[in-house]
Amino acid sequence: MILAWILALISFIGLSIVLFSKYEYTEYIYLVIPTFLSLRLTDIKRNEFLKICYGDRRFYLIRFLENLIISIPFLLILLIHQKYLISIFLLVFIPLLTLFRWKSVSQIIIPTPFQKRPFEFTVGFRRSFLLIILIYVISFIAIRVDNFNLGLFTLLLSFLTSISYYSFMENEFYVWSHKDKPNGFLWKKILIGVMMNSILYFLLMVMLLFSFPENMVHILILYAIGVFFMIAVIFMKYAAFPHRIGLKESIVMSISSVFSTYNNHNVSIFLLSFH
Amino acid sequence: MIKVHNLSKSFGSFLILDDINLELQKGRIYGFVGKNGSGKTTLFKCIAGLEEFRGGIVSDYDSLKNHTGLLLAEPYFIAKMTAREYVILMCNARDVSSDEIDRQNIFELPLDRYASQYSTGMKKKLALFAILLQKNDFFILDEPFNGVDIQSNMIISELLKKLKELGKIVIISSHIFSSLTDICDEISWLKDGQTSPNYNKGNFELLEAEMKTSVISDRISLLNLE
Repeated sequence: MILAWILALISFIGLSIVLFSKYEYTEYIYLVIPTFLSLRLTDIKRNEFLKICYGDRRFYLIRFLENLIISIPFLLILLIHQKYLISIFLLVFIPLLTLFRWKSVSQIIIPTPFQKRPFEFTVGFRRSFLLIILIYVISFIAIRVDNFNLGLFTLLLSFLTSISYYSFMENEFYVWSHKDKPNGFLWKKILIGVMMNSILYFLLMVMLLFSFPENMVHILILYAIGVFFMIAVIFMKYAAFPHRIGLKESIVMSISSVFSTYNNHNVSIFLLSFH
Repeated sequence: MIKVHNLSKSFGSFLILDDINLELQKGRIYGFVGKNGSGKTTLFKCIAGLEEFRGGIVSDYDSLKNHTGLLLAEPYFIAKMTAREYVILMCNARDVSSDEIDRQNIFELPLDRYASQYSTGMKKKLALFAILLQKNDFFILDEPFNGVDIQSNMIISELLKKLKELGKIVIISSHIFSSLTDICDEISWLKDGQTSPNYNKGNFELLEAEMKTSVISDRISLLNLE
């Protein structure tokens, strides 16, 4: 447990150093992520439970402290990089989320273009719509400042977001209900996943391809790898079903990601050598 | 026809179902009664194929599962999924059209609200609505009347009669004995992991009397109520 915390801390600091040294506007990511995490704590049942257990006054105090604890690491990084305005905004904005009207937020039905093919992308879209907005905002910034790496990062982020939709393990009843045989069931899941992901990030792909035509090969290879990983995660999920994806599947995934990164590099060099 | 033979199920060393044999005919409704924890839900899940068991099931259908509509005692709904999306998902699962959901919404459910935020009764009605749209031939209904308002209970009773008319097979459990006597052709009493011989329509009063004798007996006197 302690080791996990130490590793998480090192990863966070390392990633922060890389992001702030390589990319502009990283401070906005450090504002959006704690906001997103704080909003995740506004679950109606959780908050009702806390209210019943601790009463109104202590409930608000607990929620305030929760939001503050979430923002502290991001706040520290922002202060180290002298992003004072964003830091002040974060310091004021996050505690304000404590006073947010929980009920109304959790009951808002966010329309999705995926209603006809539930459930991963319908539910996932609603859970991550702020992140999707962020992905598009960063991609606009990447194009505006002509930063291809940042653009590629948004594509990577888009796939990570879509893949995260498959981390949710549905009740066995939902799988049992399907009339398809296992291969047909998986085929449908893959087809829907790839199709929905393409719809969601079609505009992002078009923007990147038009803005960075010289890097078209890189964009397409990263897209292909993203699709490959989405398919791999779907396989892994249902290989472990009805249990969550375990250590065994995660190790296989990690090894394959190392190989694919290596291959991506080689394929890119190979293809670019023809230019 | 569906035949269940020598169905047994254990959880660890605890034998919950012991050598159950059933023969279910088309166009008939079969009721199951029994105490909480007597194994009704487990039996239903075994028949549906959601639980592993010893024994076997044979039926006229190529794949019984794909003709089965299962209403769980506590239907599970994914958070952030609307009732409409749930119904579409269930219809997609069986390759059935979901184009007329609004017209077919007999329980007048608010379909564009999150299903997980529905009340207990509304969840039950939604789950039932979805399996009805799937056009199943065999229905397993675990406590369909539980938590549902009187008007909807009336609709469910009439629906079951209609399913019987259409030659569907229905097995149903309920803790409200009268709700079963109104609609069932046969009722079985699940006790100590085994089913009693089936009681048919003329003998339901006898079953009720036997249950009273067995279950109540001298227990109330143990409380020394004054």
